[in-house]
Amino acid sequence: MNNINMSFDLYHLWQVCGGQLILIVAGLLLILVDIILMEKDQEIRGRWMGWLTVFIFAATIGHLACREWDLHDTIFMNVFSADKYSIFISIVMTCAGLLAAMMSIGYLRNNGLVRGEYYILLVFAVAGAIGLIQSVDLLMMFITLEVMSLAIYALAAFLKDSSYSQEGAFKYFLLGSFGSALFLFGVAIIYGTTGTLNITQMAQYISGGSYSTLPILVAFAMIMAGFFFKMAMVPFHMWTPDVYEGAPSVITGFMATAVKAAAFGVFMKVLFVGFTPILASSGQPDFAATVNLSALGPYWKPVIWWLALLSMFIGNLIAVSQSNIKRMLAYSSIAHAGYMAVGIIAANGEGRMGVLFYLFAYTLMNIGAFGVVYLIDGMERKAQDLEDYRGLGYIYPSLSFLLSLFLVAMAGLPPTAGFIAKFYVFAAAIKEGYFLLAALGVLTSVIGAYYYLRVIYLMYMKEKVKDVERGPIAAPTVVALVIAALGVVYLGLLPENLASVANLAQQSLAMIF
Amino acid sequence: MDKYIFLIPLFPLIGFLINGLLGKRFGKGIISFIGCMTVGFSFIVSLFIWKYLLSLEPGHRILTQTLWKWMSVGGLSVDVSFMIDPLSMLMILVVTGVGFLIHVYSTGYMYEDESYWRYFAYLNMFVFFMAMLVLGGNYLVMFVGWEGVGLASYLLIGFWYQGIDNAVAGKKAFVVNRIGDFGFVLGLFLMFWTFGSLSYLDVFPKALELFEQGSLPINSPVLVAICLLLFVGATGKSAQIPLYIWLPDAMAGPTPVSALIHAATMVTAGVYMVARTNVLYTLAPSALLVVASIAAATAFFAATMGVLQNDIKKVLAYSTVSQLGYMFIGVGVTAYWAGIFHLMTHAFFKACLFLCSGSVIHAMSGDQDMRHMGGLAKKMPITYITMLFATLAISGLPPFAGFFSKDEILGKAFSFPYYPMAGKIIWFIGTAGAGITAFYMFRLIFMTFHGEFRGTKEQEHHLHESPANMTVPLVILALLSLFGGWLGIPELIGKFFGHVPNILEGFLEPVFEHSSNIVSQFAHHGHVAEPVEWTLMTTSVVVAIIGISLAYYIYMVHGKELPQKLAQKYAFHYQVIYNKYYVDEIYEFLVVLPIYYFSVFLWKVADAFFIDGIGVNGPAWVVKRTSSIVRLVQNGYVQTYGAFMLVGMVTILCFFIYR
Repeated sequence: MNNINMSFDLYHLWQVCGGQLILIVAGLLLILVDIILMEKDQEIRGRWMGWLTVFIFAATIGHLACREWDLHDTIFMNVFSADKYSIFISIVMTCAGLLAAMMSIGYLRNNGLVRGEYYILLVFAVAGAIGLIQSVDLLMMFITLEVMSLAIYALAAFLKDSSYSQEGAFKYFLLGSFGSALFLFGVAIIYGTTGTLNITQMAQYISGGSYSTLPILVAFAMIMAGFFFKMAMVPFHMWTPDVYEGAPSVITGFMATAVKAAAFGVFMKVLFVGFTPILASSGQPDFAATVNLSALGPYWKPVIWWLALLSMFIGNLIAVSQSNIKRMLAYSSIAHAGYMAVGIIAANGEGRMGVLFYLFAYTLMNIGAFGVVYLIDGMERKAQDLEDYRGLGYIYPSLSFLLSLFLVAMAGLPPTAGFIAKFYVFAAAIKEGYFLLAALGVLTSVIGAYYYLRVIYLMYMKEKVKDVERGPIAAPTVVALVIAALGVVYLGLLPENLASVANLAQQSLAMIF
Repeated sequence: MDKYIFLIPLFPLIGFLINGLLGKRFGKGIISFIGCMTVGFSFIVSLFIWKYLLSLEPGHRILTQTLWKWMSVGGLSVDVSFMIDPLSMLMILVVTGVGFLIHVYSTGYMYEDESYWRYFAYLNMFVFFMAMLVLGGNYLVMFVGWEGVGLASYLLIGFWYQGIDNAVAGKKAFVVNRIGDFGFVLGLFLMFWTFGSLSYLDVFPKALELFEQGSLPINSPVLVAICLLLFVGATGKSAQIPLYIWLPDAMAGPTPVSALIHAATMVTAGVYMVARTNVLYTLAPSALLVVASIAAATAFFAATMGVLQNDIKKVLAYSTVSQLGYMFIGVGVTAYWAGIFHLMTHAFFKACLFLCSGSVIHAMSGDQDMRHMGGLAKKMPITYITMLFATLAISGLPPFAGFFSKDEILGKAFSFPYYPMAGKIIWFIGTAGAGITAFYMFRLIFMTFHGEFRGTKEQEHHLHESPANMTVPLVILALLSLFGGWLGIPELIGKFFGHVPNILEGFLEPVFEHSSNIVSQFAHHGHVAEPVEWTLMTTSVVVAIIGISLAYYIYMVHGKELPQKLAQKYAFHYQVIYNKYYVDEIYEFLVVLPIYYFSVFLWKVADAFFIDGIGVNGPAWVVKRTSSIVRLVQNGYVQTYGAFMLVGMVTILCFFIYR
């Protein structure tokens, strides 16, 4: 397992990095298409760019899903690896991109913002995210993280006339740089101490007994902090409400899901491959059974225990007093990060499987919710106050029903995907004896039910405060919303299929080398 | 027959989908037909299954059906499965039977409503989830129904959405229920942790096995914890102290909804759940003591709150809370079948009472205040007679249904096998509560149907008996209130009529068999002598008659002045009871406001420093924001955010090093 894979040929590259290749090449081609369409009418340009992007994402999902599922391989001297784990999360993120692209066609038109670079940035963001999740090398992790983040910063600032968007993106950029710097500094220390950037070799070094030495611990803390920022865990969460509120609604949905999936995915990878010495020394492929986190477990588990608890409590509690729906959903996404972290603490197969399932379920319900939010908004910031949602149930029954469904799923009521996802992570935590954390987590979800429900109850009240006129509905948005809604219900009724795939994916973490 | 169990929930689901998706385009006739018939079909299927169940040996009366594997995690595998045994059979018959009658009644009561289709869609959805709750073969399917009926009730309470009151009441119901669910979910987690399963057919045998091996002694802490946590869920759903507050407000919904959901079926889910879990509760006597004590307190206090209400539905609401207390006394003193018996008779007479009150409100053009009524007996004879039947039943006078079930509960409470002393106290409180019940129920009858009409001329002009689709269900329910109790005639009385068997107890016996074995093995022998039984029975009848006489004396003989005089003389007590002991206000002050202000505090002080320009330095901030983006770096927010990140990282590091 410690051999560096030097072989290289194009077929091999396609097998391992196919997803990234499609997106990067297609992204470059999109730039050309955009130039060709420059002279054309806004309407035509927007439609072409949008549909091409949708097609690109669909093709990427197709490639990822149809590539040889059992192939575990690495390329570029073990910089990227292709394994079920990274492919699963890549599919989740590309799905987020696909749904976001479909909604963007209508969103950009409603806001008079039809511009080609939007889609190009979206494609590159997903390309970066896939690269990030495929990286085994800490430096490549940093590079791809930045590829993804830079595209997202630009997208968050895409509303040029909105000071909220500018302000949020600027803060995101500054703090994101700070977070990345922490991460990079941690990586540097790792390199200085262990002489390698490859996480499996690092793990091997650490397992030699030096896991508790000061440099390793400092590096570990810094790397954790960098990831917690992207995961939006308390106290690294403070950018979230500002950025989510300011960014274009569809992009907010994308950020809350794809970026979160990337951050959680790569964090679990670093945690369970890099800082799990027992795995590296034994080299057993079925480490899911033999995993023993006794070495660094006592270090990171209490940290995540507290951060998960704080995220769940602070996220849910502050969401109660929010009056802007995007801000409310931002705090709710902090809380969801906390729930997912509960699955990480369990540190068993069920927990990791639960997190993967949660990421997929959360992607569907969150992007769905933001899709409805942008439609009701008409133009960005026209109707984002909760009070604006009063009485909408009678004017726009279908939209209100969809939003209710997504919110009910986020509140974790059965039989929706949200309930199953929470059940998986909590059950995994309880299996490992984290009963108190699970109990407190369930308690916070009671608070959560309150504010999710408030939106539903406002929508079905008759007295209106002001007349809200939704924007025109584009066909792809409808399709995206219906896909998300059906997915939420399907995963609630028949979760086993996805869960078994997620289980295979988490088991393959052991194969990464 | 077990292949057809899924049809019971399926029919209402189909009704919900058809009416919900297409109902807007249908005429009212089609909507009523779909709404009623789907539930009717479920009832018929239930009857067939019942017939089949009776043809089996009593010991083998368990039918199961597994639809598909739902999920598996950490050694726990949960199926979407149904189970029918005598207990769930009885429940589903009550749910679909009474549900069908109330659907029929609704076709008359709701006829004028503009969103008629939506109402029936929600009502069918409720029956679907209630069937899931009752028929579920494991606790997780039960939980789906448990949450679903809460959602349906939330939608139906807020159905008219005319006033903010309805919406607020609906939300209150839902949030309070969520607090209860918190306990329920934790109970399930703990159960899964202890027994490794959530299926009824795994958990109970496992518990018995562990008990017989000696590794799970009686009153073991984990078992008491499971039972208490589940009971927290039950207090939410079944409106017991301290979570009963949502039920009286829930009466803001349409009256048939109050009858179906907030009286006959949904609120009894907690009782069903405890009876279903009887093996675990019997092994945890301390939990039973808590259940019985809280139940007795609820039965008594809710009854006193009902005494001074003037809203006809509020009186019935508090009486429901109180009667649920009696059911919990039954299951709490290990007389599980008696609790279920009272659940059944209560479903009959309380549904009847609510529907009658609906008929009255209908006649009064929507007025619910009893101070405006009076003398309605002449105008609405059918409503009057049926309501009188139901009132006699709830007051516990023989031979009406309530007498048999309530008496069974109080008699069993008197001989509570685990805690005989506590049992006697519970009996005393329960009997006193029964007297108060008789008092306020007859106060309702006297104020509504007797004396002179006190409303406006216009209202008087409109007074009329309700149409047949409303009165027929009333008559059926009134007859059930009379005869329903005869299913459970106690041995004591039965032997006078040539050994009439106690049909219901025999039918339910297999479900509670293990529990009675454990009780007889471990508890003090709780059988009371025959004369004592007679005394108890006579006492409860006498107390009820005293209550009725008092109501007659105060509201009929001295109807004009005495109530006011009493109110003035005992002004303080009157105020406290009239305001329901100020419990709502206390909760608002102690729970709701602190959470809200804590949220605002966290948001404004501990988090974010508030960007939207409403804060103290808002105007200045707006000016700043327009001037230059670069200024953002200087306004302090970004530094604060960054500082928090740094503090967070340094804390983690310090923990790592000084661990």
